[in-house]
Amino acid sequence: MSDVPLITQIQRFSVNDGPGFRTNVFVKGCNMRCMWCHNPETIRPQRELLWRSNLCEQCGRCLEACPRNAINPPIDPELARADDSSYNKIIRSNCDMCIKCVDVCVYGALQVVGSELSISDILDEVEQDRPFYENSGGGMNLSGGEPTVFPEFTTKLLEQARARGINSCLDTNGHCAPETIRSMLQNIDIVLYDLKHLDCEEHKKVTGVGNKLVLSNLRGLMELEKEVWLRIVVIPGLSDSMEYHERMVAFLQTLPTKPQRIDLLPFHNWCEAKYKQLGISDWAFADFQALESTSVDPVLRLYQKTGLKANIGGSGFEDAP
Amino acid sequence: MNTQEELFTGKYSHRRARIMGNATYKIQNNKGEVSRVMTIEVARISEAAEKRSLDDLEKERSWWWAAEKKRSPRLDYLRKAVWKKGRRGGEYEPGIKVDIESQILFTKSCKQNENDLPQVRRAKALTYMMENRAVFITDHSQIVGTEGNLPHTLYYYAEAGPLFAEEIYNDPIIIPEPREESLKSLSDLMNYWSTRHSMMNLMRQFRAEDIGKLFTMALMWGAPFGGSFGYSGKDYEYIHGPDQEVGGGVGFEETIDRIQQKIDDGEDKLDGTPDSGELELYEKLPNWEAMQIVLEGCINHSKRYARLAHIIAENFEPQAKRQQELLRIAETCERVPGQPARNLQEHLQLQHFIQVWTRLEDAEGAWPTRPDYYGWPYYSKDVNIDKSLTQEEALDLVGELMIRAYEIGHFMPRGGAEALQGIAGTWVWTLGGVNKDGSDACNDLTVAFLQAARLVRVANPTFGFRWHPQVKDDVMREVFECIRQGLGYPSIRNDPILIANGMYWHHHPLKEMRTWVHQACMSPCPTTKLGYQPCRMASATMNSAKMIEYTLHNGFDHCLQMQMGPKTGDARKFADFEQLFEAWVKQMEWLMNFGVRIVNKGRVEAHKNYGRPFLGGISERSIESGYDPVDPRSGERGNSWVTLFTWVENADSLAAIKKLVFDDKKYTIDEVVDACAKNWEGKEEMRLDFVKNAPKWGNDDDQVDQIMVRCLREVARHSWELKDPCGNPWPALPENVSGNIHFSNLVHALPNGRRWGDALYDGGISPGPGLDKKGPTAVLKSCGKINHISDGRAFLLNQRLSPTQLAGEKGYQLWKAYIRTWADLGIDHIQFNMIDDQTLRAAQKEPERYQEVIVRVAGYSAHFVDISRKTQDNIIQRTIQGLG
Repeated sequence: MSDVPLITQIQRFSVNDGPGFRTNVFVKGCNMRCMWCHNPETIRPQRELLWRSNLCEQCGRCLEACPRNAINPPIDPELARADDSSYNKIIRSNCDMCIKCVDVCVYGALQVVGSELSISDILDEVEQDRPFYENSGGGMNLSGGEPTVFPEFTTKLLEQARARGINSCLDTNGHCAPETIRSMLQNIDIVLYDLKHLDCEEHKKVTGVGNKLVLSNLRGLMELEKEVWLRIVVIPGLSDSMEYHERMVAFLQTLPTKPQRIDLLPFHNWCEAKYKQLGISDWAFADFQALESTSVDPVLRLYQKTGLKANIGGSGFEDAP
Repeated sequence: MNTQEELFTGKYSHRRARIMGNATYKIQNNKGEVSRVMTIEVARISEAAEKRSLDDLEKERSWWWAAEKKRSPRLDYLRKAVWKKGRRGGEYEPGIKVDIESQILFTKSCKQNENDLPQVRRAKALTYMMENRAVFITDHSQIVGTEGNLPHTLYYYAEAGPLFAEEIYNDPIIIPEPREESLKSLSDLMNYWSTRHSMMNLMRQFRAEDIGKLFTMALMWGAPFGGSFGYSGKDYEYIHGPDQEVGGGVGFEETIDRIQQKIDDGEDKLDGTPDSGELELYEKLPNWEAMQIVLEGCINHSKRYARLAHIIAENFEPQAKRQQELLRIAETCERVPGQPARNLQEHLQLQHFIQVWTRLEDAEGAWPTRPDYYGWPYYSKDVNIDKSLTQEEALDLVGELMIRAYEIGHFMPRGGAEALQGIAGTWVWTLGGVNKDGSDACNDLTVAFLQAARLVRVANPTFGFRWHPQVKDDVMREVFECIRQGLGYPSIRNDPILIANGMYWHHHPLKEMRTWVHQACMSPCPTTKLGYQPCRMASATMNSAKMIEYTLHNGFDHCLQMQMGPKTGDARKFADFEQLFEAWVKQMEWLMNFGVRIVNKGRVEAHKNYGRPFLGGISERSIESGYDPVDPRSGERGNSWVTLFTWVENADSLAAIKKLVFDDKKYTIDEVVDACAKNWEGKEEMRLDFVKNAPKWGNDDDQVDQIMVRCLREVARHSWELKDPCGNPWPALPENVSGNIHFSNLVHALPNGRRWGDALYDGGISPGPGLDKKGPTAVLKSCGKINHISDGRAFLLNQRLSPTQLAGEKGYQLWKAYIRTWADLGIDHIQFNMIDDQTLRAAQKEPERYQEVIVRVAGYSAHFVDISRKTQDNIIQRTIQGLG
C-alpha cells in the first residue's frame, strides 16, 4: 500500500463522531474486513467506480465510450432500478478504470470514488468550518478506512492540523503496531477507538484479523490516560446479547483507567445501496434491518449501571453543558 | 338583516370528519339583540390519541395530538371552533362565505355622504359599518372581535372595485345563501365602486408603458392602487406608552380630546389673519375630523361587545363561572379602547382590536406586533405581583390571542393566494429582543407565547424571535421546543445586526431601532412616532430572476414575447464575463427603478384616494401634524425596501456562465443564449452540465459566493441612488414567500439549468433545493460572506434539519452551537423546517392524517396539506441535511 491514501470524502457537519461539529476525513484502505462494514467504499485502497441505478437513464453513452467491453448494454431504467434487479452497468472483471465512461455520463450515474488530495488541500477544506468548531468544541475527525494503515501520512496530517490549531480525533480500529499509534498521540485530542469484538477467534472470523493488537493497544492508551471514546458495535447475532456485554463490562474493569465514554453503535443497513453501487451483490448483512435504538437500551443501562458514561451513537453533543 | 339571518342556515356537518362536539357563537344584530345562536360541529380528541400516553405521542412526534392532550379544555374548544380562512390549495374550505353585510353597510353610508371630503366619508362609512354589522362572541372565549362579521366569513373590500369582486362573484364556495340575493348585492356593490375605486383614479396618472408592463404581472407583485395589501407598522410607543407601564399609552377618549384641541387651534388660525400658513389647514382639519369619527366608532364597536356579553350572561348562560367571564368581557370592552388598559385581558383585547380595526380600514397583509414586550407590565402585575391570574389562566389568554388572530381573514384573489399558500397573510409576531437601554427584554410573557404556540399550533400568526447574546438559556430552550415540535417558527433574527441595519440604512436612532418589529415577513421597523412606516403595498417586490433573463436576451422577454427590459447589448457578442456582468448591472438597475418608480408614485398618491383615518388616530405623528399616516408629509423617516423574489438564480446563473463559458470554455456564450431561448430543448446533456458541473450558491465555494456578494454590492450601491418619498434609500431584501411558485411560469429558462416552468429556488438567500451538497455548515459559511448590515435590508434563509437529529438534550446542544455560529457569522435571519420527508410523502398520500403538519415555506409557515402539490414536491426535494 502506498503511504498516501486516497480520500473518499471530506464530510462537514458530522455530529455523531466526537465532540461538536466535526469534519470527517475518510481515507481509503483498511486492514480489516468487517462483515457489516457500512463504508464499503473505504475498504480497498484503489480508486473504484460507482454506478447509481437511480440516476442512470440507460442512455448507452458509457457503452460507446468503453474501450474494454466492461459495460452492459442498456435495459429499461425502471427495471434496472427495481430493488431485486440483478442488472449491473459495469462488468468489473473487464474494467481497467480508464474512467472514459465517467467522463461521458451526463447524469452523474457513474462516479469515481477516491481522490488524491494533498495534506494542505485536506486541511484547507477542514478549516472552512472553523467558526463552528469554536462554538462546539469540534474539529477534524480522521476516519476511514483505517488511518493507521498510512502512518506517515496520518502523523503528518495530525501534526499540521495541530499547527493550525484544529482539534483532532482519530477514529481507529486499533489494529496497528503499538509504536504507530503512540507516535501519533501527541497530536490527537481524542481517540475514537472501535472495538469490533471481544473474543479473538470471533474477531478474526468477522473482521479477518484477531484482536490481540486491538486489546493491547487499548490497554496501552488507557495506561497513558489518553482520552478514549470506546466505540462498541452492536451487531445482530454477533454482539447483541446481554451475556456478551456483561463480559465486555468485566473486561473494561480490567483496564488501568476508564474510557471517557462508551459509545454503542447499533448496526444499520443504510449503506446497502453503496454495496450495490460498488457491484457487490453478496453483502452478508443485506437482509438485516437496522437495529432500533430502543432495542439497545438494556445494553446501554448495563454499562451505565457500572458507572461508565455510555451513550447510543457517538455524538459529543450528548455531553455538552 | 335578512340576508345575514340566512347566512346561518348553511350545512356545516361536512366540515370535519371526526364529529363529536359543538361550538356555539352568539350573534348580535344592529338592534342590540341576540338574533341568532349559531352552532357548528367540531372535532373532539381522536380515539387514537385518547388511548395513548402523552409520552408516546411525543415520542412519535404526533405533536398535534399531544397538544390536544396538554392544552386546557378552553383552548381545545376555541382552537377547534375557529374557521380556517386560508385557501386549501386553490379553494376556500366548505362553509366559508364572504361577508357582504359589512360592505353593504359601508357603501350605504358612502352613498349617503357623497358630498363629504373623501377621508371624512370613509371615516363615516367605517363607523356606520362598525356600529351596525353583526358582532358575535364564541362560547368559552375571552377575547372578542374579528375581521368578517361572522365566525365563518371573509371580509372583503368593495372599494377595491373589480379587483376582488369579479373573482368573488365567480367563486364556487363562498357565495352565501340565498345565492341569487347575494349575487345581486355583490353586483350592486361592484356597479357602484367600479367607477369610484382608487385604481381608476391613480392609473391615469402613470405612464401607459409602465402600466402595461406592470400588468403583465411578470415583473413585480402587488399594485399600489388602494384596496390592495398594506403592511402597516404601528406607533406602539403611543398606543401602549413608551415606558412599559400598566396604564401607559393614550386611550381613544384622550386622543379625541387632543385632536379636538388641534381642531380648535386650527379653527382659531383660520379665523385670524391669513398668512398662507392657514392653507394647509383645509387639508388637515378634515383629516382630524375623520380620525375623531372613526375613533368614536371604535369605542362604540367595543361597547357593542360589552352589551352582547351582558345579554348572554343574563339571558343565555346558565353557568355562574361563565357568567363571570362574560361580565369580565363586558367590563373589558367598556374600558378599552376608550381608556388605557389596566390588566392583561384588557391589554390583549386592545392589541387585538387595534389589528381588527386596522383591517376593517384596509387589507393588511402583515401583523407587526411585539406582544411580549408591550404586554409584559400587565402580565407581571396580574400574574407575578397581584396574583389575580394564574399562569395557566394567562396562558389561556395568550393562546386565545393567537387563535383569534388565526380567525382573521379577508378574501384573497387566487393570484395572491398562490403566493401565500394556505394562510391569510404573513403575520410574523416579534418576540424577544432588547429593551431601549439594550438590556434583555425577554420575560415570562415571552415564554408564555412560546408555550401557547405549541398548544394551539396555528399556522398563522408565526413568530420571529430577536436573538441577542444575552438571551437566557431557558428562553432559548422554549424557542427550540417550538422548532423541534415542527411548528416551523420562530424564525431567528440577529438583533444586533438588524439594529445596526436600521440605523445604517434609515438613520433610525439607536433607542428607536431597539423597539423594532417585523413590518412584514422580514423587514425590521421601529414602533415609534417617526420610525414606523405604513406602506400601501408589499414594498417594491420584484421578480429579480428577470435581471439575468433579460441580460441574456437584450431585454427581450421570451415568456411574454415582448421587449421589457432595456437593450443592454447582444449577449452573444460578449467577449468576457465583465461585459456580461456590466449588462446584468444595467438590467438590475432598470428592474429596481421600475418597481420603485411605481411604488413611489403610489405612496404619495395613497392618502388622496384611500386615506387611513383609523391608523392616523393611533399615530402620534398624524394626530400632531394633521396629515394622513400614509402621506409622507406626516413626517415619517422612511423604512422602505425592495423585496427581491427569485434572487439566487442570478448568482447561480452568472457563476455557471463564468465557469463553463468564460473559464473552462466548454461552451460558447452563443450556445448558452440559444439553449435558454429554446428552453434547453434538445440540449439536455448541456443542461445537466449547467446543473451539476457549475458551482452553486450555498456550498461555501468562492467561485459562486463571490459573484453573489458582488451582485449584492451592486444592488446596495444602487439602493442609495434610489430614494423613497421621504428621501431615504431602498435597500434590497431577498425573500420569496411562495413567489417561487407564483413566478415559475413567468421566468424563462436560465443558465443555472432551470427550465421554463420549473419551480424557482425557494427563497431569499437559501440555496437551490438539493443543491446545498456540503451541508448546513457550508450553507451558513456562504451566507456569512454577505454583510447583513450594509449589503441589504434582510436576507431570508431556510434551513431544514432532521427531527431525529434534534431529539433530546443532544439536539438542543447541537442546535444551540449551530445558532451561536450563525450569530458569529453575522447572518440576520434563519428559519428551520424540522419535518422529515417521510412524513411529508405520507402527508401527500393521506392528507387527512396530517392536517396539522406545519412547514415553513419561505417566510412563513403553512399547513403542509394545504399547499399545492407543486410546492409540496419542492419542499420534499430540499436536501435533508445531515441525517445519521
